[in-house]
Amino acid sequence: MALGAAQDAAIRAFESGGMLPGDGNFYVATRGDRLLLRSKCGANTIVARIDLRDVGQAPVAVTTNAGE
Amino acid sequence: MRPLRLAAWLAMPILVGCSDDAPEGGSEFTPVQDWVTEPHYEFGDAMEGDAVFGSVTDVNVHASAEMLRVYVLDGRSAEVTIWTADGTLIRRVGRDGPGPGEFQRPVDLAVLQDRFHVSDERRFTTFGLDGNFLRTDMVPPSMSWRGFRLRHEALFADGSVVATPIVPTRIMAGSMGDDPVDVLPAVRVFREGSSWALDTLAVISYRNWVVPFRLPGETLPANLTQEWVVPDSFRGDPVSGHAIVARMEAAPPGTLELIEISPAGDTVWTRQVRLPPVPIANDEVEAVVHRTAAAFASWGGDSIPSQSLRRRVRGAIVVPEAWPVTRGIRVMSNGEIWFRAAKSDVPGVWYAVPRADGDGPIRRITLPEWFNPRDVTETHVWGERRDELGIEYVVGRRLIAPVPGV
Repeated sequence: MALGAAQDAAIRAFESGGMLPGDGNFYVATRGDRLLLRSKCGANTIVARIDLRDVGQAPVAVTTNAGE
Repeated sequence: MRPLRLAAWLAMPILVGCSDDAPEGGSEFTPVQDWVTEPHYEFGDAMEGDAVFGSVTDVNVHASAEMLRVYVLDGRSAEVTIWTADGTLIRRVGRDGPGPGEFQRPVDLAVLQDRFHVSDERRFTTFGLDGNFLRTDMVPPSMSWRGFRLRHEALFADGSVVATPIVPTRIMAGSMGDDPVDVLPAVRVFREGSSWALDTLAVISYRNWVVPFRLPGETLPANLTQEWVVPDSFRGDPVSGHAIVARMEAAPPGTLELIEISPAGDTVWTRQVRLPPVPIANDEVEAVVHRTAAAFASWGGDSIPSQSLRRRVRGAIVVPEAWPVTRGIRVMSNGEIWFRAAKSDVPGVWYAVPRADGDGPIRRITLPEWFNPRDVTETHVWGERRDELGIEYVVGRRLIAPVPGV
């Protein structure tokens, strides 16, 4: 899977509360009241974020390619 | 694959017992019986002096009324050898490879009543006690917790697997600027129809174990591993089909809380072991400060840490009232939980806690420092030792009970 497609799939899983694959390139971190979807590659870039209060709500606000 | 809701990531229920019922103060220490051992069995050196074992990874025994068999997992040769107690080789099982009955980087051996299995990086392989191949259970490769790969710890009789997430230390410490990961789940991975599902079995605390430490001129902080903060210890026990958690962080000094959890997440047994706390001496603190500061200084090419660096390290190191009771537990096939004292006057002091109801005595066994205990029968403790040439031996030492009245 190309990196762009993999990132899109990871963001979709993150957004919907689905499971990220363990051998993928992304992981979920916490910072204060937010969950961050980070890339495991390079500088661990944030590729999406979500407020904890929105967890379980649908649809949720997701910001992509937001950097640090 | 069944999705795991984000909410489940956040609301991991603490299924393990609570520490609120700890006895308050006083000298109600756990009664201890002092046992010693003596040499009895040893094998591993061939006639010509060649080593039999490449790297002993695990030793388990199967004892019945008729016979005793010793099973030795060798990680380097990727095989299990089956022996009599006095060192007669009965059978070699497995070899390096991906096929049925073969192992790739094997890490663990579990001998049960009627079979044994070996875990390697991707699967559990089960054999009869005689060494005949029975089956392979593959570990689902894509299961994760928050995107972190799972390390499989134990295979239960129902085919479910106990696993823990593998999280890099810099992420655990919060060195990336995120919140530190204070707790990780121990999960049970099980088949649900044609897919796999996860349940949280226990929550394992890693609080304050590794903390970020910023060095001058470095963009990202370094990781400082605390000497006296020990994470919870978690072990899957394939013999009982339960998991064992050992906790110290929330307990009073000198106390180790042991909790046995069923696959359903129920606490089936718990016990607090209370030993006299061993205070941390000032010179021990200074030694750790010096060692840690010297390690950080060497990164910048300095052989001697500055006073400023030493002060900052001293400020970052957590110094509790007393030494932790231990740094980890082992679950033996006789049901006992063994742990080595993290600090004692005599090296090689181990404790053995029976998984039985009540507050009866536990065993304190003094072992040679070079001996690494792996499994226990009613009469012997089995493990390995390495001689001065690096040759490994499997060793069975006879357990000697205390003499009444002495």
